[in-house]
Amino acid sequence: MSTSLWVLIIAPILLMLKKLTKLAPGAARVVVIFGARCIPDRIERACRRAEWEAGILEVPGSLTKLADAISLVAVYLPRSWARYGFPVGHGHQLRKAAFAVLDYQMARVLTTEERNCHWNTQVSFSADSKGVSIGSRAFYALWEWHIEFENAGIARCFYEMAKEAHRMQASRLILEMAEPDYDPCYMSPQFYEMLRQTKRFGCVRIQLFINAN
Amino acid sequence: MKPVRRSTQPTRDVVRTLLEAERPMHGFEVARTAERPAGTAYNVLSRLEEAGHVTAAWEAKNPVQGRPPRRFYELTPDGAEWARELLAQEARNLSRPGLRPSTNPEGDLA
Repeated sequence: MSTSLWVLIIAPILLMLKKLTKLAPGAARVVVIFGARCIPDRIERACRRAEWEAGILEVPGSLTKLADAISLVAVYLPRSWARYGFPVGHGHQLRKAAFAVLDYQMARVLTTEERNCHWNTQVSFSADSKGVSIGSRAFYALWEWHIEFENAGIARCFYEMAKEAHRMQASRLILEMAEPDYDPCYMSPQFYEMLRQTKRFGCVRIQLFINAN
Repeated sequence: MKPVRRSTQPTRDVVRTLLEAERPMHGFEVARTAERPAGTAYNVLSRLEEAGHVTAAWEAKNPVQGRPPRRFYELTPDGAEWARELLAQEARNLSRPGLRPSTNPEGDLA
């Protein structure tokens, strides 16, 4: 291959790299701002945006800034969604948010009286009667059907919960699971089944809370 | 306030970094010192902050022209105590015979 052909190939690549080096800091800033916007919690969103914008400026090197910004967003967001909820769809902005708490382990270990007492304490945090209704239906579904968390029956339970949530026009469904060492990122089969069922019924989002107490 | 129940290796690295630092550090600095991706470090810092082991404070408004203020993290006194216990527990676990890294180049089966 002649020298001129090499120049024709390499020169545009070098020019693109130079251009990319110039654009990379701005792109890194855009990436972290966009990433921060995807955080579900409003306070954390504002906090992280300012923090990341300042932090990314401290990273030496233009392309390194961009790579760090992309890795930051790629690593942080899935965990953040696991903590605050996975956005399932953006098609609906439903008017009323419902609040439902399902303490799964409670159904397994407590007596009926203890369970009701605990349940009343839990739902007292909710000001929304729809949320209480959804939560209690889901809770009794678990209780009556004897669905074990590890069993395939969890999909059926989630299906019913999602259907009920949709009927109630709930915008979110919060599951609180008393499994301290359970990392939502690793519960893929059950969790994705839940996401799939919920998406089917048009819930806006699911929040999965892991109770660490 | 949610206690930290899972202490993964990144958690211990971040905790060690904060414990050894003699001053508050911002998130990217923690990540760099702990040799962890920034996303991992921020997740750990969030969990530690929720658990009350770490406090965060913003630096003065507009310290440098054109740069937003940074947020600095440091262990609380209780958090420092917890961190020492966590790292001591890790050291104890490593000193147990079954969990000690193998020094045999041929592997454990030899």
